[in-house]
Amino acid sequence: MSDLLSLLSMGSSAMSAQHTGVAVATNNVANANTVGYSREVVDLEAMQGPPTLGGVRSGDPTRTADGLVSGRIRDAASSLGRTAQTRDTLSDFEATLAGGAQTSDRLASVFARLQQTAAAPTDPDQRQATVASLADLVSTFHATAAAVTDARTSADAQIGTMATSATALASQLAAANKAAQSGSPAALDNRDRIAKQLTTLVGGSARVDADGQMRFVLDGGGVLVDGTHAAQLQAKPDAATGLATLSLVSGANTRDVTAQLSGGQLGGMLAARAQIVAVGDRMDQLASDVATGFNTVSQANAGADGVTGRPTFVAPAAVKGAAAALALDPGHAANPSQLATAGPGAGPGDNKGALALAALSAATVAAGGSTFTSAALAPITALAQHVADAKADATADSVVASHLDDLRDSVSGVDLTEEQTNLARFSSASQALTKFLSTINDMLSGLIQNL
Amino acid sequence: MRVTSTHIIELASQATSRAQSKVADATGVASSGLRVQVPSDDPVAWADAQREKTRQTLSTGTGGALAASRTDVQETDSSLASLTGIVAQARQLAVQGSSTTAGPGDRSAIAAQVTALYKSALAAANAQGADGHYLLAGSQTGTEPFDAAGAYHGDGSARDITTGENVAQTVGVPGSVLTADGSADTVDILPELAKLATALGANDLVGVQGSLGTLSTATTQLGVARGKTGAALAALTDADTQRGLLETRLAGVISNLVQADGVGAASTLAQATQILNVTQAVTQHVISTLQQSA
Repeated sequence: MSDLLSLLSMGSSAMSAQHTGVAVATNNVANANTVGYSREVVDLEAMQGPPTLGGVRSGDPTRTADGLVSGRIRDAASSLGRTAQTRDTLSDFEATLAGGAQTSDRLASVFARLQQTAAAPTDPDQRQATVASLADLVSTFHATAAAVTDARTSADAQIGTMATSATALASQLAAANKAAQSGSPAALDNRDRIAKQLTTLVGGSARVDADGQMRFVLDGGGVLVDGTHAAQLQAKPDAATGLATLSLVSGANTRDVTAQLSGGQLGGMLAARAQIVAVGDRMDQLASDVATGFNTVSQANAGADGVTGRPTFVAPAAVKGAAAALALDPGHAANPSQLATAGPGAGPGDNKGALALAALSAATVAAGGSTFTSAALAPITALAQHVADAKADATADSVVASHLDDLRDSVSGVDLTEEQTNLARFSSASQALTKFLSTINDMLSGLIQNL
Repeated sequence: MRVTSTHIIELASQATSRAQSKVADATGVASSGLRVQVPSDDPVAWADAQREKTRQTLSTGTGGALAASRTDVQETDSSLASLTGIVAQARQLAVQGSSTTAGPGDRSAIAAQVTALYKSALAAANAQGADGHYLLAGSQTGTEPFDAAGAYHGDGSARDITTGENVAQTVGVPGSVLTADGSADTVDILPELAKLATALGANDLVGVQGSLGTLSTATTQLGVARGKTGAALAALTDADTQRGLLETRLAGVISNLVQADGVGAASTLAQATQILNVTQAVTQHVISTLQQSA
């Protein structure tokens, strides 16, 4: 009778093991579409018992995850976050600039008008049209400067939002570290998911140390999360430039990390902002050069009234902000006859001034020894090259990230067919065990009745 | 590599997404006709196209300058032609007046005709362009270049204009071509006409005979001046022809740089659409197979 009771006990533990298998397979199927879920497996272990039979038992479900692949996924997420953010931000900026009038086109129109005015310097319509083209050029500089300011302001706002999100994610990661101390597969999955989000956002790297705690280090070495402690990423405007800067704040320590953040969406946004600022600087330089170039020629020549020394533009006070500050000389705007089309001392029919102004189209007087139109094209072309590079890089990074996701899926992903098979396997075993236990029960009942 | 059902669906989904993206790109190119819609589509081609557009705009400006100058030169030539005709008529009248058979009454009548011609010559020399500027005033276009006595108050400057890329052409003829420059080949044309009228009115036979040679010189002088306007007109016409050719060539270059080949774009769109259809069919099949196995 004691043997029969042992068999009952063995059947009970076997039934428990098979039920664990069913539960694990069911949980896997339930989480088949859960992002970041790592499938679990249950290992059945044969038990030794006298004399030859011992039964079976199940261990705790095991999470199938590859830490190396997870690390590479985070690296790829950082790279993709950077390139995609750079691509999107600069594409929007490019569309804004390309959608409006091109400064190079406006400059060409001014020079074309000056050529026509040189052929008919006394024609008031020609002079008016030339002054109007100069006003259009000024408007285009203003529009470009406004687009740069808008893009820069928007980038700074997004940098601030990203810093806030990064701080929130860092806190979540610290909390996840605490939860992961239990060893719960769900907690570990959650920690991996948060770490990937954080890497996508700010770049950097996350590693799991020997103590099982994840540490998150920013590009440049700043520690954002150390176990259950999270630092803060704060954005504030720079006193000199007005641009948003980023500081890593941990307790009483504050460290400027703006120049060190290169990965993730934040790194991409910082890189894009640098390009936007560069376009603005080059347009400021061009506006200053245009004002200087035109004014030099204009002041050396005479208007239709024979007066010399008048500038075409109000000279900007400084190169910085020149594109926004550029203005047509009020005298020209009110009276186109002031346009310096004649040489000094010549009559109103002379066109040496107009020819000298028109000759600026071919003069290499812009910064860097280029013509005005080339200097106007250069920043847009450089921006376009950056956008094209970012598009190509983002496409390549996307392929790498997709490949790594596939690799993770091959290790940790749930296969419904496989889980169905497992479910059937454990379910069949459970049914067989039910019959086994029923038979033992019948035998015990018969034995008891015969007593 | 372990392949999960999720992976298979993901592969099908990505393939469909890629195919849709290609259809969208191909549709954009085919519908706009532009290969380069934003600078980043091809930065080098875009920059080259912009440079050629700048040349095109400058060439358009050159075209406007050529047209304005041609009108000016034609009007100047017309004035010079009038003056040539007037001088020729005056010389004929001088021949009549220098005849020994003509009496004082005849010369007085001829003097009246020459005086009328002088007024016409003065009007031709002070001719104005469409915007009111004096054609034969050099740079002093705001005031009458010749006074009632035929004295010149303009200057000798002639206008240059840009007629092509790095090419300039002198297109103006100042009123100084109607004055003596100190050489034996030139005379003050208008004062000489006035002198003739005076000599005829005074029955000064010697003075009238002396005018015959002077007016011959004036005719030659006007011929030289008209030669300049003719040369300028020819140069302007040639420059305009060259400009037209340049603009046609630039339009072709710009088109090649940024515009799409219509047949190629349509073919790419058809290809992309076909790939999308196949991908969608495969995706449906995959989903159906996985549903059956479930």
